[in-house]
Amino acid sequence: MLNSIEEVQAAMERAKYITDRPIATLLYLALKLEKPILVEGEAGVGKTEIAKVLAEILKTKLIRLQCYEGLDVSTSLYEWNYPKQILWMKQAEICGTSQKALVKEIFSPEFLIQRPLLEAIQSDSPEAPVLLIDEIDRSDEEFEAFLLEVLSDFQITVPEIGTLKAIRKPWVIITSNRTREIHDALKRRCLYHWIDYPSFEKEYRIVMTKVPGINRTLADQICSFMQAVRGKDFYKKPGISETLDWANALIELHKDHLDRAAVEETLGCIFKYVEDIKRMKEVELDTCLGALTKNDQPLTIPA
Amino acid sequence: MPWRIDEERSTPDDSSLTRKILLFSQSLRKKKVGVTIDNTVDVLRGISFIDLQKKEDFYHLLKFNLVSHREEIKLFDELFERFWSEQRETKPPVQEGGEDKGFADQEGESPKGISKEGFKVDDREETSEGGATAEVFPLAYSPEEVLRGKAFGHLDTEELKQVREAVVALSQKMARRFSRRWKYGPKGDRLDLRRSIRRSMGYGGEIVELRRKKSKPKPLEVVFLCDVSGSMDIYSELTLLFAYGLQNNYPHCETFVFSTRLTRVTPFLRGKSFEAALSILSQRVRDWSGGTNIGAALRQLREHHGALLRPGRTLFLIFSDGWDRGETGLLDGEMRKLKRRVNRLVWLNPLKGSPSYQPLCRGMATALPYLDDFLPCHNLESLGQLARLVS
Repeated sequence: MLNSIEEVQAAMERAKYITDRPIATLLYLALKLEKPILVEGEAGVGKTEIAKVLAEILKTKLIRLQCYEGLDVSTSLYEWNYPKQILWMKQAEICGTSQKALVKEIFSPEFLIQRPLLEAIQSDSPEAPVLLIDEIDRSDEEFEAFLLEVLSDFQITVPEIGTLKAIRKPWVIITSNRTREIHDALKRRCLYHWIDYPSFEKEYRIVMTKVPGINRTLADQICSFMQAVRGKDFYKKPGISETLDWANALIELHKDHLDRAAVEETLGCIFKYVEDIKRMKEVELDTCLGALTKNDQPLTIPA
Repeated sequence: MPWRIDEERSTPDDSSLTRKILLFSQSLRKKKVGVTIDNTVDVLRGISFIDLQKKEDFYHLLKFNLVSHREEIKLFDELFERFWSEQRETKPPVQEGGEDKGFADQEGESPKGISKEGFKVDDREETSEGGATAEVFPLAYSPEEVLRGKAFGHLDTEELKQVREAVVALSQKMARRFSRRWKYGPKGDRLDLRRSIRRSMGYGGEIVELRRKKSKPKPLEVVFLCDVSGSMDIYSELTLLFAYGLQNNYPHCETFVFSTRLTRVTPFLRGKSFEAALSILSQRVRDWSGGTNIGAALRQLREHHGALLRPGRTLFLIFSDGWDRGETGLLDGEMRKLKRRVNRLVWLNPLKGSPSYQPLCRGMATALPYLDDFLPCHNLESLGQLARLVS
């Protein structure tokens, strides 16, 4: 079913993920070469979405591991179910179970709480699950080293039980916002892709698909405006999620085209820093609005 | 340029295509792109899955596998265009003979033939890169050793290049030290159930001894305040480079520049090439190379970005020569307030490197009593001292 780049792209579009050929190629190669994917890019360009859409087109489960500082083995891999173990021990004491049998019992898989990585490896669904490791740059370096180990042979050793091997290798997608560099060894193991801000055409198609009830003029103006904004130096440039938020906000306010007042009222949807809003109002607003009038030629893109 | 691979030759086991891919990987390695053998093998595996008639797909196959940093993309694109377009149509005079020979004796090629072609391509790489590589190559000792003691103000272009690399390496090392944290401890504040239960097995399942663990210490936050006023010109680029290296390897770092006014530059340093970062900085920082008003800059920092200053967690680095033209009273008051709100206050002064230097100028003399450390930073040696100090 997914035997060519075109088929992958078509399947992604059916799942309402507007994409371009590079990303379709990336998923296709990951499926064929059975390699993990590492996507980097600014916040809000749709990195996480890739994993969601992959799970959807493969009709499989998405297992998500959100990284944060201090993420460790007991929250990412497995943890013993301590209350259950304690109850079991108390019961064993009353029933007079032998100690050896008890140890064997309470360190069995039944007492193991699976965290995302173990869950991905132990999944017994017919299609391998998609494992999303989100924002790996937030985790500590020691976790990265540990992840490298897991990704190289897809097996996990629990001292009390033994080695658990993957039934099916999960499809792994790692995302990073680049607040710090990821270790080279991990990067080199993955198919690497840097996702840029979308082109006008791509963003226009995304807005038309994802925002119900938007008219072509407004979508066109929003996207032109966003392209102009991203050409300037702001602390935090808006991504696609900001574009969609903004489009929805404008629709709620019953705007059918952009003008200065409409933009000024809704700047909070586009920018997340006071300095950026201030700079927009004082310096850049005119040039960005100017970009709208230039872009007056009729659109040839299908709705 | 047009894209062509002969159809008969495009089978996955085709030796000339395989060899070209190997050579391409090698050229990338020569440009310091860390392509591994596995990466190249994956490209070769991937060939059978794509349609080689489509240049775009072939390009992506190579790019996804061989590139692993955003900074490498531009380099890759240039090399890709040069390497894969010159197959037939254009043959730069230097490598013409080599290329043709390579394809001619493709059938029964001897090991000699391969190495011959290999050398040809190597030659071309060397010539196209110019003399720079040839000069660096024969250095058998560490150039850093020689440069360690040399003041930044006295570097020529080649030395500056090496110092830059060393500065980035140093900042990475420092970032790694910051990130290291410890976890288990007998007197921790959190219950370690995992170990407690494991331990209780020896007492027949009765929890006699409670094991504890220390929660991980919160990471150190670094705030870097860099003076870019006129008197600091020679030093500020290298110091910014240091900040840049730290910023891109350690998430808990904020960088500000100031001369008469303060500008937060963290987002401009992050995730860009250093050159791109510098050019944005010079556009956005309006008073670059202006006068100095440290007190006002500190007040601005406290008022607008006060949340960044956390007692017990913030390492505050001021990089300036202390030639302050603002009010002494203001500086004194701000230093006192700052001292209370940070864990450690370090002043880096490039002038301190000179043996005859005395912190007599008004600004420096005012600030001195509040400092935890007062360090020179005029050469690599002294930056190394900083890295050691904070770890």
